[in-house]
Amino acid sequence: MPVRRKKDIAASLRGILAVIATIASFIVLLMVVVVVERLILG
Amino acid sequence: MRRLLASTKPFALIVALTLAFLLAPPIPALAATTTVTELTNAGVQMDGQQVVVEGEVIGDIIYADVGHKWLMLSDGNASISVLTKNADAQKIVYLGRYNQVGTRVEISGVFRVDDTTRDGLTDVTAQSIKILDEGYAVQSPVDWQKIQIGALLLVVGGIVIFIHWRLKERTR
Amino acid sequence: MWPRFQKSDLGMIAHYLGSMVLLIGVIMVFPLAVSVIMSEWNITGNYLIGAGAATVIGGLLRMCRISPGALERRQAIAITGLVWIVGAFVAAIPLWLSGHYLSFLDALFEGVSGLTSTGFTLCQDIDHLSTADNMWRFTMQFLGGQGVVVIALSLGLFSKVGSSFYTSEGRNEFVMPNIKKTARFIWQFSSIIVIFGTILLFTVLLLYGFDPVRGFFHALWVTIGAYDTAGFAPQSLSIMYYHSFPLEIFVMVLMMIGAVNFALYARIWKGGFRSTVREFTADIEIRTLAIWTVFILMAFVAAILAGSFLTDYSGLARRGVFTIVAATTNTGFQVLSTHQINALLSSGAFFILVLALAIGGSSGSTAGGIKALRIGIIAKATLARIKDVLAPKSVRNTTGYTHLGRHLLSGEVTGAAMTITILYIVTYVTGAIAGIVAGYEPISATMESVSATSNAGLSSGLIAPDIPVYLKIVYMLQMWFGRLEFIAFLAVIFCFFASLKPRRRAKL
Repeated sequence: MPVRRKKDIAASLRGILAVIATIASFIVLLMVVVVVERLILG
Repeated sequence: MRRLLASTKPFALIVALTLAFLLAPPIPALAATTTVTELTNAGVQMDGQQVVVEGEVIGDIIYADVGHKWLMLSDGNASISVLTKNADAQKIVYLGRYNQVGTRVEISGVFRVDDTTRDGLTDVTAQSIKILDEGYAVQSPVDWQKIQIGALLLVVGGIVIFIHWRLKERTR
Repeated sequence: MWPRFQKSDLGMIAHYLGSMVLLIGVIMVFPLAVSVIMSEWNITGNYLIGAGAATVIGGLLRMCRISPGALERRQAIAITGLVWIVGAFVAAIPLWLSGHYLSFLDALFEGVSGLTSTGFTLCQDIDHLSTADNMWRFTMQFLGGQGVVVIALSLGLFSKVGSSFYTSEGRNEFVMPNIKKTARFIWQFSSIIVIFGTILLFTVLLLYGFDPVRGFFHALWVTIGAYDTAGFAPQSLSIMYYHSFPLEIFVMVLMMIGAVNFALYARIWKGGFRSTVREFTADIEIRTLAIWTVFILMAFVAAILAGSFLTDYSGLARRGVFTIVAATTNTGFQVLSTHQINALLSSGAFFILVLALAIGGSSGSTAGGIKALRIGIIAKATLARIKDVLAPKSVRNTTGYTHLGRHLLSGEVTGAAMTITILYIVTYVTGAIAGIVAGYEPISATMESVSATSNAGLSSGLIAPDIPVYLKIVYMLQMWFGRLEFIAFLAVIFCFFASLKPRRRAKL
């Protein structure tokens, strides 16, 4: 099995971090949804 | 004449006292002394009430905002967050943990079931805090009996594993 | 015809269960070391006894089969089915000795709750619990979260076993071709997340006034509780204890990370950056989960606004969002007190929480519940069916779905999804009835039942040391079923009963 190059590992890491960033922004989205809903429903 | 005067004195006193009682400003109702467990189960009718609650301070003193800290008060069954002024928080000597019995305090303050300034937390905003007992550290002595039993079990287990290994070697 | 267990099977099963028990005994070194470091000498003896008992029990079980051969599928299923109970039994010993549990059954309950990463607790006076004991509770959750079996696999304990072990657990995707590699990946990935999470939370707690030692342990424990979507908390106030919005946000991120399929992480790791986010967002499970979470959150907020509790902006954004995230990921952390959830939250909002718990998170993750994948599959299949009915007879519709590659939405796939969903619902209802029969409020009993089966651990306060013994057993069984997703459990039960029946003589 070919040894993973540093470049590959860096790319994989970026992938995982991108996923985590997506999750974090989803949570921000949830809070925005709540605030907007509260605003509308009063 | 004297007899009349003698009898009017107590009478006047009574009149004066009655007037004083009727006209005097109302004494603030004594805050109900309650327990932490009662507070954690309190309904909305207790919201905003003045309470006096006693308990052990446990865990950690946590930053709330610039002038305040959070104390966690426990009665052994339930716990509640108490917002205290920094100066009051510094009076706490021991914090209840495994090997410590925390400072026992009497808090008097306002209870909120849904504290909107704290995003809906159930808490007590302390106005005054009275130290009842400083608390103390508890020794956690080595329980030699348990250590001996444990060591014995490990030895027995070791023997079992050894026997198993020998039996396995023999079947090869 | 149910395959029968032979006597030789029992020997193999006992042997490998013994290995697992031994492993648990070895892992007790962790809390033992903590008790020594923290000078909790009285507790050290408990873990020595626990480790010793594990060694004896494990050693004896292993002797049931001197030289184990290759493991067969039904044996592997039985082992992964029984390890949770046998493991919990051993794990309960030091807890029971700590004196914080009213009975051994309570300690066993805690063991099951820990290993199945549920999070219900029967611990007495948890605020005075020793650091070592808390360390053990969270170690159990980490172990259970990553699967006791996965750890054993990655350590090479079962050198002769191939895929038969791995697929009998709830995870039924092959993450990487080689089983050992898969197990190692899960183990390494989880360790890294826990390390980073601990560092992050440790920093936050220091800023909030914690001393370094307690700050470290709490950061570690809360990270494990969040990432393993488990839900034990070190103090009785759960996450409210920390009074920290930043911490709650990090915890939410950790919970959601833990609620994503491990297989997806493995694919992303192998794939590299370019395909990542696209693959992630195209996955049917992630999509279902995202849509469902937004929907259920909006319903939750609407229901809350119908009442008078938690109606302010910051309360909703902070505690409302956290509660829903903790519910959909089946973690069970609380930022609202049990009383607030029970008595103050409008009953509509309470019901919606129960629904969120019931559906759960992703498959192949530490979350529980019916799982978003099945809901997504059933939803898509239903739409496809409607399309079929409406389309002219000559047109043939085939639908696919994206989940770790592209798959056909066949009848078999849909059928499997529906079967398990029905099994979950039946279990939810049965557990609820058990609680109602004991005299508890129906909706409270329903939440407890759903929470147990989906390994969530969000409690309405019903579960307490004084509930009837049979109810504790019901919840333990539910936690067990939920962790195994029924198949392994039911297979063991049916095979066991089939083995009891005498063999029918063949007709001559």
